[in-house]
Amino acid sequence: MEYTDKEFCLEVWGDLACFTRPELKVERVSYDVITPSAARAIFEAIFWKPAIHWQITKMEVLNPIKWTSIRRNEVGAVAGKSIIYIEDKRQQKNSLMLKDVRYRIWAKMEYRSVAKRKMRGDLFIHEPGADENPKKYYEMFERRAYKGQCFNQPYLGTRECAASFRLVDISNDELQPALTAEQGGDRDLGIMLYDMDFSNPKDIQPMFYRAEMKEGMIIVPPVNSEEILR
Amino acid sequence: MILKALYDYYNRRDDLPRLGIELKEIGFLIVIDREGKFLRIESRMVDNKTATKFAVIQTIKRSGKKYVPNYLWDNYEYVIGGSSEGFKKNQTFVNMIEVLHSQIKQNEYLDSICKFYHNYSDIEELLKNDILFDSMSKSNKNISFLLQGAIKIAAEDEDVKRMVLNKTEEGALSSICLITGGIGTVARLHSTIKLSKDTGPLVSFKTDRGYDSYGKQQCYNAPISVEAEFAYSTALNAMLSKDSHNKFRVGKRTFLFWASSNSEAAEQAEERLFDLLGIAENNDDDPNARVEQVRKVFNAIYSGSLKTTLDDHFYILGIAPNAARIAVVYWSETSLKDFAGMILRHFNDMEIVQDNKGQQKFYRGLNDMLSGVTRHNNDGKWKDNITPNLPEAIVKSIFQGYPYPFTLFSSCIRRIQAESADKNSVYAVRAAIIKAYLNRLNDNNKKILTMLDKENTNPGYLCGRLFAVLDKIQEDANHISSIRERYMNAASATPATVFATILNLSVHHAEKLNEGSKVFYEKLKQEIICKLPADAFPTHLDLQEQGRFFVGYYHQRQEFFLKKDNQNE
Repeated sequence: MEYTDKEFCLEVWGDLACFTRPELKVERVSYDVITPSAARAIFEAIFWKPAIHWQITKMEVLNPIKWTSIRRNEVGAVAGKSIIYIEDKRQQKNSLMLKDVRYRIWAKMEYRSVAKRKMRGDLFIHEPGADENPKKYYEMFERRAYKGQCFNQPYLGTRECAASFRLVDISNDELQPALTAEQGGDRDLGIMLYDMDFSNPKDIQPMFYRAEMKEGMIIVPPVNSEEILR
Repeated sequence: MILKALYDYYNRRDDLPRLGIELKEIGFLIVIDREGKFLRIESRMVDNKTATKFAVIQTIKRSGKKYVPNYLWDNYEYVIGGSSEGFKKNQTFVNMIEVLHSQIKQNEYLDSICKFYHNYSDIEELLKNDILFDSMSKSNKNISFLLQGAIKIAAEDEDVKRMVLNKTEEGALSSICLITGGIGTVARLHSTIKLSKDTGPLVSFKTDRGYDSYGKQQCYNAPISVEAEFAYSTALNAMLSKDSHNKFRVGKRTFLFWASSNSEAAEQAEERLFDLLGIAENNDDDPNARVEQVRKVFNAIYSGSLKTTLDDHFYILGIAPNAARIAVVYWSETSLKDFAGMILRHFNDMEIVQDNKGQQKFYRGLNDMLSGVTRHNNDGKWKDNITPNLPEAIVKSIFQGYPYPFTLFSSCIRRIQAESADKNSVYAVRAAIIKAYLNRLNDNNKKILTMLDKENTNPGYLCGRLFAVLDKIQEDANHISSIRERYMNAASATPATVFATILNLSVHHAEKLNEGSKVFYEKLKQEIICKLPADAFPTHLDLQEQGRFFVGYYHQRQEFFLKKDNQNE
């Protein structure tokens, strides 16, 4: 069966966003723009099944980059092992977050054939039927995104920054222009977190890439390309 | 971006210490001879609080109860011992010396120090007899050794330095560095950043507090290579050092700024920004000349006479201490040209006429603005009373061209009204703040000018002008200013209730003046009143219009002084 992975586009926006830098995770400082892993999480919040894999291809910044700083009381302990008495574990931390963000994220839905899934060790309760094909997953996503359905509320980096989303019709819609060069849309963003590599569950490694924003658009390399630094 | 910018800054400057070496204050030296015999203690203190700095092997990062000694220098407990914990620490120090001694043969320092520790069993007792012992044990300064007759101290020994710096840590992880992108040994703990008294690392992850992820421990959560870590922490510490021209402090926040290149424009910008914002810390004889220079430089950058390229960036980082860590509270990265434009805008917005009597005080700096809107205690101190988030908000407005914070404006009005009995409650800074705030709001009101604006018909502005005239009449006639003391607050908030009364009073005051003055003031009063709306004085003035009231008052008063100066000349 011949097919090409279909590319979808979502416009997401929110009042606050925090794409936390790994090195400044304790007193949160955000990256300047959305990370591919956060964009992937938005797509996955709308629709995900073991049969598909989201590969982010492009991210466009539509609003100028603005910062805000907030101070919050946070819990400084790991939940689950024992009771947490907040009076002992309360910590006040500062967070430097992005304000009024709006992005257009493009991703390809990669279909994993049944053979590939079995090779990866997925368990099947029933054997997949003869109607197993990528198009049905494309349509499921389109229906859900168009209606605004999601498994959990999509978020911009951290769960408290809820995101609103809208499916963009690539062929018909008029696309709002991304950040122009005068508005700061030409920037070298340095090395940013690409995603985490879960291939070895015992030793999960981060992956980085060099992000460059041209006219508000960031091209994201595919996960097996040479540009990913691991 | 922040760490990358700091890393670039380290590479740009060529006078910072290289990897593994640190400039450390060492206060006291134990002088010994080649046989390890104790001779005396020498002091290397410069004054009561600071000591000379030596280029020693970088401070070892210690965490928790793990006692690790520094190489040939350390604090009192490590070098000498003392308490029970001190004894353990001392053991590690002595061990370190012996290990080094076995690895490096024929080094005078290691030989002598080894013998010194072997010769005496209780070093503390031995040293107690020396005169300087008390000051050494009481100060918290570091201690090292000096061989009789040598120039360099033990901690500066080249052999040891060479050996230590070429050693790689066992069991260290190698991974991609997220600053440089290259592969390198990952730094497990990061050095502390010396932010005044509160030191702490910028990047740190306490174990089991909820910040470790994916099973990684401490700084393996954010892999940064040892070289990159050294670069950014040295750059930060260099910018935070006492005589640095790259920082300014407001309240509990410290702001660091630096440019991305070495071009002339960038260097000038750094210097002038320091002049503008660090000014309150020097006592200047001629603040005006400095202000002019600042303005000239930023004008040149903005207009292009000092060349900048598109890649010339200006970075501003605001940090604050928080528990045992440093928090980033502000970060901005703009092109140098835009930045210059912003500063110029601030200058223009804050420009207001000033009297020529006495020195013209500089008023546009951050400290002066804050001083004008904060309550001063009886002893003159005011820095503790600053509203907590106000300094950052003002800094943001200056650097990014946003409207000034509302808190600034309302605090200013509040201070004026609280101090209305005072002769100079509306002085240059306060009037300038009001003008700047109102002008940056995007509304339809006419912008306030630098000098008296005779065409302005805003009712608040006109009431302020009128009030200034009536106040001046009373001052000229009776040499008291009870009108201002009693009525200013009411006049600014509810003019209708007050102006009838004071206009009446003013008639009686005017009778005491000479003919010339009477006519002059009468004409002035008429000029102002005829611009007011026909249906009486406004009953209420909202906060913005109260601001215009005070600016009008200030403008009119300055006009009197200027006139007087003109007449006197």
